[in-house]
Amino acid sequence: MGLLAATLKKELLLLIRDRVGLVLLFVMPAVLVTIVCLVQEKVLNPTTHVLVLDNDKNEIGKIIFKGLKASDNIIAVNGKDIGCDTEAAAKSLVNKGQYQFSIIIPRGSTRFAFDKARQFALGQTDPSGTDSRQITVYFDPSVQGGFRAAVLSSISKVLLCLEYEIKLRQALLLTDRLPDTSPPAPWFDIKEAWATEFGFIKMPTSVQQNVPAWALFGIFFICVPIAGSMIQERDNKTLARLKTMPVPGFIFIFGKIAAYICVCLIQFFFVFFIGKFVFPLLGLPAFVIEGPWLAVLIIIAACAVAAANYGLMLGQVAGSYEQAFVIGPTTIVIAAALGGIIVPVYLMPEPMQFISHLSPLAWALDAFYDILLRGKQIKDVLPEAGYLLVFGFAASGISHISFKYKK
Amino acid sequence: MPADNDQSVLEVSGLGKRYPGGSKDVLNDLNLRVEKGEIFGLLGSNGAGKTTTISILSTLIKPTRGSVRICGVDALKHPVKVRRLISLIPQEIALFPKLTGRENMRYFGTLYGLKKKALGLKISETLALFDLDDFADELAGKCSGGIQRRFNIACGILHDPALIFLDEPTVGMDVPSRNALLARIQQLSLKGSTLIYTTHYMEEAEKICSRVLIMDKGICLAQGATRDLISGNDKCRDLNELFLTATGKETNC
Repeated sequence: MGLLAATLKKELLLLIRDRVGLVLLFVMPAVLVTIVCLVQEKVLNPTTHVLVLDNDKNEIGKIIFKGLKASDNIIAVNGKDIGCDTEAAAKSLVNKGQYQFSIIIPRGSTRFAFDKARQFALGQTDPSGTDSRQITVYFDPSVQGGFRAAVLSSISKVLLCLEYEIKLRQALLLTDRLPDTSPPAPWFDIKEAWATEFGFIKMPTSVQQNVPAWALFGIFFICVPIAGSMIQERDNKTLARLKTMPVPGFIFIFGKIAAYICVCLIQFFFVFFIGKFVFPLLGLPAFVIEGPWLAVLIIIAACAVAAANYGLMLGQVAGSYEQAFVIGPTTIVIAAALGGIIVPVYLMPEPMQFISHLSPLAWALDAFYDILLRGKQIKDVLPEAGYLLVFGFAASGISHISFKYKK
Repeated sequence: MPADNDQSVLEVSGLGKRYPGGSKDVLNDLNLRVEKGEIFGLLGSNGAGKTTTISILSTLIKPTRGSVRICGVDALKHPVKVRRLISLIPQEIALFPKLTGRENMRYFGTLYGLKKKALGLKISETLALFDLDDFADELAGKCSGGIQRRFNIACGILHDPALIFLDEPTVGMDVPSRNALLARIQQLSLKGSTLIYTTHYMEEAEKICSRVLIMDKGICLAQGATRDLISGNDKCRDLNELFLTATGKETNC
């Protein structure tokens, strides 16, 4: 026990005194989590700048502008307020990227709408239905397809509501009765619900998804300093010296792994602290863990074992620092991409979804989603913890074999 | 655990080594015997088989054939027992650079089984022996090369090993530092430690080694008391010339 404690103390001292390494281990995941959450919060709840060129200068233009302004995620700017009074100027401003899109409301839209409503109220509807005014929407080419569709759908809804309102008003005015203009009631309702075991709907925020994902990424990155320390000990013959000592080899390995498990736990709590207390100050939702804490600790410890053993294997198999410092981060980024850290697994093509099951980060992330989003219990994450431990032991086995047969 | 007076500290017989996949032996039929308190020089050019020999004797690798006994203990059958009796001090600075000299000594001493109080006393004694008191609390990696080399040795002698393997301990040192270190190595010998000393510097070996073994390509070319080997060869005035003659690198002594 004294030998293990001495090795653990030595490893912790080495880690504490490696300031650059500490910055990498703690600041890197914290910065990564914060930036990704801020970015994704923006993606999931975007704020879009819209330029409205109201050539109508009447009721329709005002209502569309008011409708857009009422939206939480849209900052609507009236063209006349910024001296933009032509369609070409509005298009140019979108083209320069100052606005994500601009809406050109044509001259005479209100008169046209009221004429159409009057015809409708008096039963004089154009049977061809081709008589319409065109509202042009200019999009910044960088605006994604899904977002474009959402914006067009929103504008269509505003216009549809407006059309009904004007029709009703005109009908009441001209005929003193309400025509049946309401759309037919749908036969089927869609109820949106989340498949959780919390017994209530829990909205997965970008924070709840990203904090565990990038914290895991940071944890797996400890393979780089471990491999570095292994290579240093091998190259300066400290390892050879240790091997000639009357101490079982597992003491050195356990001591190293124990130290890095401590680091991983501290690293996770540091990221958790940032998520819980710093995120609200940045306008992000706070990171909360409502599932069992023990399950969280089990998964973090299993990840640490997997990552530390992977680092040992890397340190043993790699021929030099340079190799380890290229292979380590590259494989972690690949495992992260496959594991759904960067893009959710369900969005990947089917073959990639299958391959993602091979990534230890996918197991760990799935376990976290079980705890944080699906309301599962300790027993539910034990399989994933088991896979991570098996991965760790397999890596340890490979390093042992390599150690035995390498000259 | 020092060796009994009538027992050799190191007995090597018929030692041979061929690495897996290798086509020839890197060590062939090596026999040697080292007595208590000796400084025994293991001399050879690069690739002569010195490192392989030291690696086998210090239990790092197993030989293909032959036997090794250290203080009467079979090193091949009982490597862990033997590890309590030996110390390997590599040519490289095998220290943790982010630990202080004292912390390095405490860690290695603990691994050798020294307990708190005894370890503290031994550290103080060794720091004094190597004149390292003023540097004990500095990070090892920040110390000069000479100081690091002294700490490198200090960490390896805390448990009073019966046999110390010193692999080129003066490489890269300036002359005053080298002389100071050699003096301390001789002090260790006078205190009863037995040393296997490898070096490329023949004048160094001639100065401190009571006996030497000259090897090349895994074969022992000459072995005996340093003085006797030199005086036994009329053409050679010193160990350097003897070495060159024996290894065939230069024959015109």
